[in-house]
Amino acid sequence: MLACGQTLFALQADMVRSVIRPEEGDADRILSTFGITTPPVHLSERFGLTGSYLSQESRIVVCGTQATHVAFRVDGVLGLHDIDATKIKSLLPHFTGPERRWIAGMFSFEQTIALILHTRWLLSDDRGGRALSSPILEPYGRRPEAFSPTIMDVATGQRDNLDWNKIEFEEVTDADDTPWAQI
Amino acid sequence: MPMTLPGLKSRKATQDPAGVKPVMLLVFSVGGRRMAARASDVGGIWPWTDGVPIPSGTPHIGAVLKRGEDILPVFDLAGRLNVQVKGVPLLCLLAKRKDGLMAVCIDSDIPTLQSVSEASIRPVAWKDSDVIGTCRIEAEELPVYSLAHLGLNARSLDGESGGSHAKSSCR
Repeated sequence: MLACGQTLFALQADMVRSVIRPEEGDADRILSTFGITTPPVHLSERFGLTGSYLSQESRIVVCGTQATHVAFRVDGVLGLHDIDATKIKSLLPHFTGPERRWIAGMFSFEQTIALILHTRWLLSDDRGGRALSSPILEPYGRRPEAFSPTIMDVATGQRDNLDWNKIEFEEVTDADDTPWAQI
Repeated sequence: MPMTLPGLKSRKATQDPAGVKPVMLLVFSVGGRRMAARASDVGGIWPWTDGVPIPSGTPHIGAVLKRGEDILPVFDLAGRLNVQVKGVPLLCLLAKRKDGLMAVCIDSDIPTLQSVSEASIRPVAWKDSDVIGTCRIEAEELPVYSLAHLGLNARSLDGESGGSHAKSSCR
């Protein structure tokens, strides 16, 4: 579980290769062992937003597969948490922009909500600014054969098949039927 | 002796002499602007709770909030109108948009219900607007919003990177 500003993000734990303190002297050396030579950007910058400044809680997260590794900075790492896959909801249909590439799903976490990052997007070259000028597609990586869906991707994908247009609402024709109107 | 089916009498009683079907409107305000919406498009009114920002390119939808076990998207109507919501405590209007419930932050003024005739809602067709008509209520001409289509006309009008994530006037 990762903190990025006021928002919590979740990643499949087995995608995470390393968590590094930015101020560690050998951070660059550790990153280079993963083949990463460019300075890690803040996760917010991956969405085309402005990242926050370094703090005591800031961490560099390295994640990837055998073939590909990426590193990005976050405002905090909240550790490992077991999540019931049945509690994961797909991104709500109201969201129609590039965020559908970025966020695979969401779930209630303590008093707030955590967003599940699309791992394939995270490992791709896709960046916020470019994403907004291109059609909404499934996230893809540099080498599609290098990726297999994670448990979280599968869980949210199954919920994406729901027909959201079939949600039915109760008709209200009289104020007596609207209990909230009594406030 | 003829019998009247239960409910039929009350339905007749709700019709005006001209036989025009009445419509129940909810009158509320956002940033001091009074507006109305069909009560049948409202899922409830609750105290406002801050949402969780989401990086989003969808116009005016840049946060979600928890309501019990449900997670609802937050539509920033105040941001769409370029106003700031007023008062304490703010209220949350649940809009029954056609693709699912949305939370909308509104002013602290307690919304009221008004029964009007369908004919008194004068249709308008403003470009890129969620307003479907206007209606005179208490000597004031109010815009009537379609909550079922709220924001659907606004899509692709604006879209900086991260969208309303960085701009929301009320989470």
